Amino acid sequence: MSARIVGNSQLTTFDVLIIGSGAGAGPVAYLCAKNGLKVLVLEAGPNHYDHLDDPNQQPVPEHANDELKYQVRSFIDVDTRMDPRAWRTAPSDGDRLQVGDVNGLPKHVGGGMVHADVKMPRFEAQDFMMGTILGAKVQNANFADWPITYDDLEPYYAFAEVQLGIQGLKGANPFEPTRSTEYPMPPGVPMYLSTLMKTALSSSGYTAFPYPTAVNSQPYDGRPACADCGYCSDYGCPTNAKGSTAVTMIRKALLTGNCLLLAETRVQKLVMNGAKDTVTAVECIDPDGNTVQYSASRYVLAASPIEDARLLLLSDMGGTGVGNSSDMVGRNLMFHLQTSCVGIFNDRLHGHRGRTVDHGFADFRGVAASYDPNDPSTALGGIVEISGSERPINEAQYYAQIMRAILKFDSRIFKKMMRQSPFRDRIVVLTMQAEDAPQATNRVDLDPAIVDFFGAPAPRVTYANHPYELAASDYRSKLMVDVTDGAGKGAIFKNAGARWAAVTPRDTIPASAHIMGTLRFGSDPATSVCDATGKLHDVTNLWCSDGALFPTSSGYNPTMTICALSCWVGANMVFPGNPAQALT
Amino acid sequence: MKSLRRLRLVGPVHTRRDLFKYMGGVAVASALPAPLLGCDNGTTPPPQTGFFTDEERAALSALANAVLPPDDTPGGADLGTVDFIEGFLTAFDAADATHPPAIYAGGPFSGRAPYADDQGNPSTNFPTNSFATYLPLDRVKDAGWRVALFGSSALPNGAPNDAVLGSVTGLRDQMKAGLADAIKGSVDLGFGDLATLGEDDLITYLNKLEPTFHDLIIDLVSQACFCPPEYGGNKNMGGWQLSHFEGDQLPLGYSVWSTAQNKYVERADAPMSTPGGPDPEPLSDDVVAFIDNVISVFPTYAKKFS
Repeated sequence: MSARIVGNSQLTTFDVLIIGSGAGAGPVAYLCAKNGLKVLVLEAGPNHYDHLDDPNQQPVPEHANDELKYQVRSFIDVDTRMDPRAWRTAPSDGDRLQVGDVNGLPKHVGGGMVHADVKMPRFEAQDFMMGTILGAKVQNANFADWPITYDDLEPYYAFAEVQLGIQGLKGANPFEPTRSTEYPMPPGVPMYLSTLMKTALSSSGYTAFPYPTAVNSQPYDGRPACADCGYCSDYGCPTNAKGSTAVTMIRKALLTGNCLLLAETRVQKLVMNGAKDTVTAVECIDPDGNTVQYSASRYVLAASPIEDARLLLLSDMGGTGVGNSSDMVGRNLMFHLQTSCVGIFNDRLHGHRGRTVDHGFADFRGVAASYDPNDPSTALGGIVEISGSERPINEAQYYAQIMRAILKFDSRIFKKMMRQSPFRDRIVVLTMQAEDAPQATNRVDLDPAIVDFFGAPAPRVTYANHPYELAASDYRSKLMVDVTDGAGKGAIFKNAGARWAAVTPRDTIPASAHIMGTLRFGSDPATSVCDATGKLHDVTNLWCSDGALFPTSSGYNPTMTICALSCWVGANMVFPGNPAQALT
Repeated sequence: MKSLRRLRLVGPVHTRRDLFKYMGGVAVASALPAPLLGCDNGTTPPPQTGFFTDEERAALSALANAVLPPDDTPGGADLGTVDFIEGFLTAFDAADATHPPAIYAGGPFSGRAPYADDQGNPSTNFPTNSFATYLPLDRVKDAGWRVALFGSSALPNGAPNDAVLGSVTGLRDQMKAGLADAIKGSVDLGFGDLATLGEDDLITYLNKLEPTFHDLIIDLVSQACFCPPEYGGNKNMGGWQLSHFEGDQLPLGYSVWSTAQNKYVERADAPMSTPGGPDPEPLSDDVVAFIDNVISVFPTYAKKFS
């Protein structure tokens, strides 16, 4: 565990206090600090980087190619017994159905961006207008237009792409929105299985393209080119080739001299004035267990949507929650309903060599002009990731899971499976995101009995899928199996030996790690929590800068848009009325 | 992509997170020692710490081979399952201000793979092994792991939600009790001394263990046989070898940046974007038949291709 106090420790007064250090926090921290504001970043979890604030050398991570450390012992994921969440599908389930992990994200410096394989596509222009497109057509959902357009956000996408270091190929995705810039880096080396899939998809009329990712395909910004070690999704990067906010925007903020980061400092609540319209301080537990307060002129929620909403509710126990005159705090929580198909090939495809995902296709996202409940093909799916990256501990546990499901554990077949690796070395996994219909009943509140290690009420997630995303998933899951079958669709898979394919059953509890909504932004204080700049309607000095703002989810991975939005919020904080000035 | 641990088939998901259901809770009180990056004292825990008796070690070795039988490659026992599990269960025993508990090996590199030279070829320069030392835990993780290993009584007030969820039985107690039952059960069911059972009997008996302990043993043996060897298992990297898996490959990696050529160079011995050499172990008829069976009973849309 590296330093808990990072950056300029001489700072004692702050203009901006940011809660969290992940994708929603790094950009706003950097934009504020680079424009001269004094910034305090509070991170609940530990810091796994030495030299994070050292201008003379790159950070030294504690991350490693170690499957046991990440996949079994949860090095960067939270301990779900100490940091539990409760889950149910509806109030009729009772107080809760389960306690444990509910779509958790890591708590540490860099947040969820450290464990991600950082797929960073932009949203399409239509994704900002789903209220207009779908609002009247999908019943019992709250589709809403964003208060800003794609064109408003485009310069911030471009800025963030440069800061984070995104590889990609302009124009390769036929559904890509207009871009003002090229990608900062070209695509890196593709995995063998990606090249196979690209050809097969083409024969089916689909267009696979290099996935935009925050991974260096050449030395960039002082960080090395990715070596495609394979330990990417769910792992921290040992070389800093992955452009998580920790080693990019947070580090850049620290290097300005205007930023101090305190790790293992858990914000317990916002301290409000008597009118509950101004934050006067935040109350925290410090690394040694002491209760302390920090204050600033302005405050930013960037702890991810579930924790943001939880904090507003914790800050007004016995009341309705800070910033909640609309009763919208915690509501319209969205996860992407991910649909996965596993294809098993005769041949070894060595998917463990590579960046987890380096190609995808967006044909299942398509273009939504309308929706017909009787035609599932009109429900918007999402971008499909092409992968096959696995390692042997997960493989062994997967075989055991299969055997238990069928009848009993068969030791001799288990040993052969581990030697022949049908589900590790011979797989192609297609994973589709999907438009998640926002619903007011999908929400975060506080569990009435479950608490965390510090005694604070745990967040309770009430969530059920809408028929809209279920239709999209059902319809396109069969296409995913069929596209894995080469027969009749070109010979490539047959030659490579595709033998089986299956859709994997849905998660009982969503585990997408894509978390959006809960503090949606909009122009009407009666139906939204934050305004178009991310400021809470009800609070004079409190903003949100992460995915909690999303009114709708798109069908693309959210992190690039979270980062762009965090830049937008930061720029508006620095130069209200002329935010673009902050980018120069 | 979702890792396999997040992909569901049917039945209970049995993953890292679920491992906690075996574990109990509790607390600690003391904050962990301050972090010491580069501390070279927290080495791999010595095997045979005395946590297991000789009888328990023999029984656990037998069960390790029941899960992963030896053939012309090592079985679970020879791959170090007992040392791995004992090291895990005693992770806190030798911990002090300068020796973090043996939970998380360090980073970034193990020293097994070299740096690249300027042409993108392996150099003769290897990093030091930072896996050989353990990382300090923050106070939340410290509490969590103590509860997991020792149970609710490890914290002064118990685990956070014992009143609602029930108290937690620590993994150490679960393992001791499970082994005792397994040793006794082998005799009671007429198999005889667990430590000396033949392979057929061992494999049969494995599936007669109490279900929770059965699942726990399979999980831990899987971890032991395929983890980085610094944790005490995967002896001589035999688990990775039998699985034809290269293990950790940094800082070299698979696509190697050549600073001299200003481009990527792929490794001939482990290509990334092209097919590899001959399959060292193709799918056998019985494995194909097993997958055929899996696909035929799959609960969702699935196909066997012609």
